Amino acid sequence: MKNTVFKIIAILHILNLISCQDVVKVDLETARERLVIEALINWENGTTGNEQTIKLTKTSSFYNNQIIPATGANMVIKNLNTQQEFDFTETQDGIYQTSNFIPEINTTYELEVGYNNAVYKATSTLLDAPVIQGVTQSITNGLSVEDPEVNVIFQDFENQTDWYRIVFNYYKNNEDEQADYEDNVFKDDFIEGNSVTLFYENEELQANDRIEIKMYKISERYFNFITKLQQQADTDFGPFALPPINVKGNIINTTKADNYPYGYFSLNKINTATYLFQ
Amino acid sequence: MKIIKKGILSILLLLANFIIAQNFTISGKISDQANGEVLFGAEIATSDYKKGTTTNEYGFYSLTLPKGKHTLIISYLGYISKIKKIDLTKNITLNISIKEEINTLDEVVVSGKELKIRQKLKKPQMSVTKLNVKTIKQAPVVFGEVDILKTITLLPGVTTNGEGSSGFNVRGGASDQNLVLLDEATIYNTSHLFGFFSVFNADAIKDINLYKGGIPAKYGGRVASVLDVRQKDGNNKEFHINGGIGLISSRLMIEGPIKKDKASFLLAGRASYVNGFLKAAKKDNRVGFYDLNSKISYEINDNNKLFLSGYFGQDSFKLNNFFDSSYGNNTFNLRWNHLFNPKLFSNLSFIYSKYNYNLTFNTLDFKWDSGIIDTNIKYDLKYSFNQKYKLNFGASFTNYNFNPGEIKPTSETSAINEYILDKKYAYEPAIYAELEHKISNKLNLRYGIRFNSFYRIGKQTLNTYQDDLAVVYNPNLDIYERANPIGEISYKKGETIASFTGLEPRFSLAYQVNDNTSVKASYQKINQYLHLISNTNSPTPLDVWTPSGKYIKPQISNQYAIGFFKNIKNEMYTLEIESYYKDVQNRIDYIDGADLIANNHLETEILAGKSRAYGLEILLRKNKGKFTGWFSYTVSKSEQKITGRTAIETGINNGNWYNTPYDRTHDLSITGSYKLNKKWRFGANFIFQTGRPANFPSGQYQFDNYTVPVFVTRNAERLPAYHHLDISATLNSRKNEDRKWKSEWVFGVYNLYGRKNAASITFARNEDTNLNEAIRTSIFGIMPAITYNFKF
Repeated sequence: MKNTVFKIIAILHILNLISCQDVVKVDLETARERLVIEALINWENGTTGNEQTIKLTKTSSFYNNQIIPATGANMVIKNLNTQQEFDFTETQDGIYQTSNFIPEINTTYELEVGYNNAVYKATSTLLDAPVIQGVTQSITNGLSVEDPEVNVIFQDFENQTDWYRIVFNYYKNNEDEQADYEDNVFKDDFIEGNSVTLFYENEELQANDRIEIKMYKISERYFNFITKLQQQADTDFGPFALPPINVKGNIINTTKADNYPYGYFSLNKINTATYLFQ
Repeated sequence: MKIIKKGILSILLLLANFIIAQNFTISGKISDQANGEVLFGAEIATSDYKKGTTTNEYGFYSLTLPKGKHTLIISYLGYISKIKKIDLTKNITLNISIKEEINTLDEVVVSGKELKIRQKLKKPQMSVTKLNVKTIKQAPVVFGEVDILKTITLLPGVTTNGEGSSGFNVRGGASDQNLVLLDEATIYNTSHLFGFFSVFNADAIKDINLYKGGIPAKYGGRVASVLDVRQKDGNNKEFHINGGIGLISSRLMIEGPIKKDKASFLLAGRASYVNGFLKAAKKDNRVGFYDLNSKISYEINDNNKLFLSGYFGQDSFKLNNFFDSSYGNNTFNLRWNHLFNPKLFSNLSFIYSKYNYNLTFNTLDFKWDSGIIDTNIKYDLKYSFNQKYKLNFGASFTNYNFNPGEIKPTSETSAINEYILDKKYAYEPAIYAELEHKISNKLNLRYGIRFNSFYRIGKQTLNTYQDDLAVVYNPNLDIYERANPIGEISYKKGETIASFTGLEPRFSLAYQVNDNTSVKASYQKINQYLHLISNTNSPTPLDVWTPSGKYIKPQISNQYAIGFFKNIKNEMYTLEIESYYKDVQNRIDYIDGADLIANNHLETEILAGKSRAYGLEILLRKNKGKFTGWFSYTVSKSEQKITGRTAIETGINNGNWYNTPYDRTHDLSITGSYKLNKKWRFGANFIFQTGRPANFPSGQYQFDNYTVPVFVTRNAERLPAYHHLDISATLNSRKNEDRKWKSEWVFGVYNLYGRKNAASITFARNEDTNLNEAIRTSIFGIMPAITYNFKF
């Protein structure tokens, strides 16, 4: 909710209304190369969660858009309750997979990556997902009273502070290609214990469009991480822009601390709902 | 406190011994002959310049001279000097009115020498800039709208964040470090329309003084500067209306006597009509502001005068029926000038000031309110013992009421729970005494002390944290995180949560080397108890003010300054060179990803550090002739440092100094006004500034649908240099001379050569080429403007 407030301020800013934008050439320096670990263990409700993928890449210069895979790493996730280990093997350049992972709610796991003579480690706890109670569609809700939206109703976990993530994937005409993606994280600050409606609004929504909704409960630290990522990726402008930050995740380099990696290790159960717009 | 009061008393008694018999005091007011407005800073002196004084902000002066005959010269910048001969055999009241020199710019100016500037050389006050509204009105401005804040940024040591941003920065300070006063009431947000306009309506303003250093002891509470703006009292002789019609807003001012020579009123209003102008004002968007200045002055008798003034301003925005927002300052004050005797002047003020911000989300069914209210009682006195000593002393008590925010559902079906952030309460008592001490004809001192305290009080419940650390450092991940509270403390209504005291020495010195040259030095210490919580480059109306307390310490600043002042060619030119060094303790910055909106526990988002600034300022003014204007140049540095609190913590930017967002290495402005003839006057500004510090990415990576730019250092890069040239032409109708209705047309072009100044540079992926690129956002291209002004 707070993020919304801030976005609104940005939208509202009068600069938007009278300013002009053009592309300019700016020479940039390139900082040292770092490992990027995308270790997102997602357990779709109703599946076994055995198949999991972790991606390793490297940072590149800002004007070079090629994704550079990090190959030849060793990788294992360990259940710290049972000490059971799950090995990940490289199936493509920088893509590491397993098919025997066993997800358990509220269990803490440890990730260990050996790469380039350094060992990277992180621990994280697998969190349960909130239940999606229903999905509806409307026109007059949402930010604009004219644009259509899909509403998602879910129940906040009671009597505790929670952090959530909801992802909307938008597929036009029920096709496979994703037309839009919206990722929101929020805290249950003003909605504690309520049944809450969230919405995805898009003026292009029409009959037979498919919306896929993924609902997660996340840790406070992961919430902070995603918030910072969004702040970085969301290039707000003007005098009200927030200062850019160096986003560090929860993975450390145990061999050489200042050669820290980017990325995050998170384990989540996910409730997914799919809605076909009428 | 008692001890200090006794101290003042004994100083008084001590000084009383110096008063030599056979001296008499002349006192009174100096005012404008045409409208009765009293003049602040007007000079009255003996013809050999050895003895003189200046009027205070209420136009009052007190001059003690030996018995006998004297020739007095009364002068004020832009006015015709007056000579008065007196034979002093007793204390006398002498009210003097002087005449504005209106169309004399191209004639030889008055025979009386310009005492004004000589007195200025003698006065210990340095780092002050006084502008009269006439000067401000002559500078070309964007949209043709006269703007006090834009004009002061043309002076050395003052910068802004560029076009369309609010606030201003003085000597490398943040904008919340400026004390902005309108008729003594604090203005918490100085801008309309997010910074395109200032809240000051030039029609209602008499004069402004900006203190950048050597701040007199009667002011306190902000570490960087004091902008003291005074409203006109209203014409007590004749009824007048003037106004103007511009592209963005129109204004109207009415003033006149209620009782001739005794009581007057002033009412001035402005309203904008931006909507039609905004190209994107499709759908149901609207944006606008209005403000109203009002004042009543009543002179009960020679010894008593009352002033009642108020300011009411509001901005409002509406976006697509979805969203309504408004913000504004409201101030109200009542002042009583009382003259105990010809040597002791006093002013008692009761001041109320409020800033509020409202936001209503129509479709989300909730609204948001936040604000700050202060009420202040102040008593300022000035005792003019004799030529040698003048004592300024007084006391002030301020009560603060902070509303950091209330969220309220606006319908029964709203999913939003009512949520009220803790209200915060505080009060700030202060006393001061400051002596103006003339040691010799060449050496003048002003020294004093301000003692203040700040009490943060309940009712409030605060979280407690392990070791009182609300922000914890995670050494493994090298990040700062919010601490988890370990408990709560409840403070009862009125119970003290935290208290601070500050003893602030102030010292200024002026040494006159010869008739035309002087050197000055000053030192000041100031405590600032309020902080504007703002994580953006320039303040937004939504930012909340927060008081010092258990977790946020007051900002404490020292400033040292030296200066060199010279009159050249019989005051044709004046040159001022100043250098300063300033440090501030407990300046706050924010942890990465700080969440400042609607946060009841701001302490978990804040780290304290220090800042420092230093620089050299040069101001060369041409004061006389057809061409007047100034050249201003500043070279400076402003930086900030947040070190770790323990050896393992890294702080921000690895504990190294980093540029503040308002660091500008070079800042140059040239302003000129040329009076061609009675019909035409031309003005021009040129401004050049080092680009403001920025952050550019030094790499990128992919993570879960995000392309994440890598930023490592803070404020290490800069936007391109900022510069523009503006011109204006004013056409005075020939017919004006013979009629009561006077009018003028002002034509202007802002940014004449169409410089695309970067308000920001952002980096994004081009959706067509899929390549990253740098995008410059610039605000004003070439902006022509036309304004019609009238008065009768």
